[in-house]
Amino acid sequence: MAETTYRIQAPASLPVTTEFSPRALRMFLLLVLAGSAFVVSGLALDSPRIWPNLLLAGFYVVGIGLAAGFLVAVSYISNAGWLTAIRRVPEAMASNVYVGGLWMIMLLAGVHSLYEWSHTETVAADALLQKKEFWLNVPFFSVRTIAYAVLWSLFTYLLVHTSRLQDETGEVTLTLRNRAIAAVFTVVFTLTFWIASMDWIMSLEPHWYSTIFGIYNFSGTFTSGVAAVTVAVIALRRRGYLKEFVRDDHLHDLGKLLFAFSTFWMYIWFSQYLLIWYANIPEETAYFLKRETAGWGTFTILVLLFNWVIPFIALMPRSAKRSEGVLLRVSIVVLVGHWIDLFWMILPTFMPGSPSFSIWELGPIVLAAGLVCLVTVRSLTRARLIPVNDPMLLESLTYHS
Amino acid sequence: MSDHTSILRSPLILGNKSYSDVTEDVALPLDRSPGKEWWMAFAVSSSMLFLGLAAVTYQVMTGIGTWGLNNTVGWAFDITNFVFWIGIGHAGTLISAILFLFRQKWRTSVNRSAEAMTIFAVICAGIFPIIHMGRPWLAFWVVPYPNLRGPLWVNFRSPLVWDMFAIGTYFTISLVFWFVGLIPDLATLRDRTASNIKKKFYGLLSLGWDGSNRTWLRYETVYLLLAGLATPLVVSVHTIVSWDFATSVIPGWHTTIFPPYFVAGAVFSGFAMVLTLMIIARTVLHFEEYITLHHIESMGKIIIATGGMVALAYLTELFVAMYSGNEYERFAFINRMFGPYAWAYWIMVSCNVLSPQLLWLKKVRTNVTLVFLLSLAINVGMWFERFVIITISLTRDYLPASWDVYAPTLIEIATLIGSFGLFLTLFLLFTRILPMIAIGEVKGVLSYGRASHEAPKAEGRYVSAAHERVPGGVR
Repeated sequence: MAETTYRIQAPASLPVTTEFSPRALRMFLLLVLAGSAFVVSGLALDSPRIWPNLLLAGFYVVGIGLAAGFLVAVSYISNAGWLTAIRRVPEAMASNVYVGGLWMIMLLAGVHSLYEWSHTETVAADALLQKKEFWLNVPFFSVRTIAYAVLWSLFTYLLVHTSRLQDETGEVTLTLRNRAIAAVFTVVFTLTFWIASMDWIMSLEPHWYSTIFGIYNFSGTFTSGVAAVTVAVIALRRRGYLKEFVRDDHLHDLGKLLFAFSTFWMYIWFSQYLLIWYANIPEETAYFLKRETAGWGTFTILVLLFNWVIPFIALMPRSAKRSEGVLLRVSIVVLVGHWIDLFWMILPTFMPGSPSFSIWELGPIVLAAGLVCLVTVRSLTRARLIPVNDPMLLESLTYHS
Repeated sequence: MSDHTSILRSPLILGNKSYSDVTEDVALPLDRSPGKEWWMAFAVSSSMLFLGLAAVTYQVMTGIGTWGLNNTVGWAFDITNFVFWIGIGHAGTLISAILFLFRQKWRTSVNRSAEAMTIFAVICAGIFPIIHMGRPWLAFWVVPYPNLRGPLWVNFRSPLVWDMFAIGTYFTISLVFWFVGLIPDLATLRDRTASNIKKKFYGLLSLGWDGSNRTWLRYETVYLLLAGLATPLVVSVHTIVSWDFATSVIPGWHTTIFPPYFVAGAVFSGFAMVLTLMIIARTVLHFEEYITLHHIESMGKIIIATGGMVALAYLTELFVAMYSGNEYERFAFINRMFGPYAWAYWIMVSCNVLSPQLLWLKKVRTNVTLVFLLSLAINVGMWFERFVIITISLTRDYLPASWDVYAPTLIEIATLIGSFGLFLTLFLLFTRILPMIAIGEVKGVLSYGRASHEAPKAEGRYVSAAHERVPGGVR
């Protein structure tokens, strides 16, 4: 196949664009507005409480986008045929990278409320923080945050744009181009994401460090991304959008991914815990001690339950992975679980003692949920729901999982 | 599995083979008496094995003092070899189990040999902890059972005990998996051989396989279940090996990234070894139509991916050592890079981080000689990675007064050579007794990509695509 390229012309029978009822869009917009109102009043009334929750929600949103983009990228470089029929869903979801990236940049305004190391007087009194100043200082931190957002947005845009271009031109070479973009994106993503998660989350407790932290965040983020894609695919299918194209085989594979990565998350969580528990070095155990006392101890059980125990048991049977209902419920459990996981990572610094839940937690959640839905749905309407000219499409439509 | 195959897929098996061609091509080398090359290779590998046997015998009779270990460096060459060999085995299980679950059809040409390699590598690995015990005849003491020695129990909190369980399980499951996969092929050999002895031998091993639909159905169910069981093992074995080090409080050993980092490194080194062996095998046995450039490219891509993970782990460790502000952590890494063993560190970096980057180029990935050389470099690099982690971290500990150097003795080097001798001898015997390529599985992918390669399918339920050829494109 070295000298020839195939050009496939789009058949007229496939859906051109997707339209959603304005009511749904209005509802999502309403969520965004309500969430924003919460956040703004939170900033005015209880800013120490709202900042960490904004960090959580921002990281959640950018993570959903990145995970969806990474799923698309990996499907290109691994020549995965199965995802093609539903690829427009993660592609649309990847748009959350722009919004989430912007969110993280806006968070720079709260850097002093979030990060202990950003106060010069604290650093002056702390020998360890002085050693870390080369990395943990506000200007460099801001540059890094902006760089992550720009890089991720750029590659997500290129991937999605090239995929959509194929709908019009039908050039098979576009698949090959996207394969190259995906390969570079994978490298850029892995190099930046682990360090971004250390910057944004690990440095909340600047004395503590763990080399696995980046992978831990990758595992949680990717699992939640797969769950979000699954929820969207099922929601679309139930409303008749993808009905003819998405079969139980697609759900089955999404279920397998969810099962596998939830277990991967557990593996990484346990590796981190076991090694810190075993070596028992005070600098390291401080992190887990804080999360084992009083209310946080119970909360830790929730983290494990939602992110691994429930998905693992529920998705074990083959029939569960092929069932719309089970898969939808488990995906929602995982999405909630990811919030719990991030809450468990971020909030103990600001809420020593026991966790508590108030409207200041709820506000950013409402805003994030509204934004993710709105951005995803708007992005879905911008292109065909099926990549009609993708050379892998036929394979995807007829495959057996 | 799909009813249609994309035009982007190329055939897995070249040369328009028929079913009987596959049987003949794979089984024929077993009928012929081995050639001169095989005998020469066997002579070399068995000599290496005997050298190793002599060294181990001397060491067991004399004591661990024949090694270069000292008070400061209690683990060095032997444990390096142990981790190296365990890592080599991982590619086999990854190919046979994980790639099976991922529906990677190209695995069929290489899985048999890779699984054999796994088993032989685990055997090689197992030798080192046993001889390190000093009194290997008491090795069964690591097994916890009610006994008359007190009773004396193992320490269940010790990762070394977990290791015994992990590797024991791994070896058992790998062996069973390999054997189950072999059954249909053993029956094929049974049915085509003229020799009575061979018929008995293969007949006994093929467990009365009759090739009926029912046997195939059961076979495939068992195979899928074993793949599912073997998948966590790929991860758990090297994870527990990494815990041997990471549960300690030694800078350079204790770091939380070790489990996934060791697993990625194991798969990385294993694939390098698969490439080394498969490139030799396809050339010597003329398997070029089964182990095609496409296979070599795919393995090259896995090497880029896993090598990338290893590189990322190096970078993370280095960065966090600096970030931590912990002077012991920082020193461990400065010592690695610029200390007395800096050469070992830089060999590791050039072989494991720099050299695999060449595989990004398609020209390199499809150049068999280059890929072969790169696979050798990675083998060397991954051996040095374990040496760097294990030995260098120990040579300079918290107390400068107890700093020491380590150099291997001739006995240790001979033992390493002996383990390679054992590995190669077993592999050479394998090529003479069992089919190197999974006949039954390759037959299943024979037609894959063939039709779409010649003329793209135009009919479909939803897409009625009109294709036209455009000259000047790329693959």
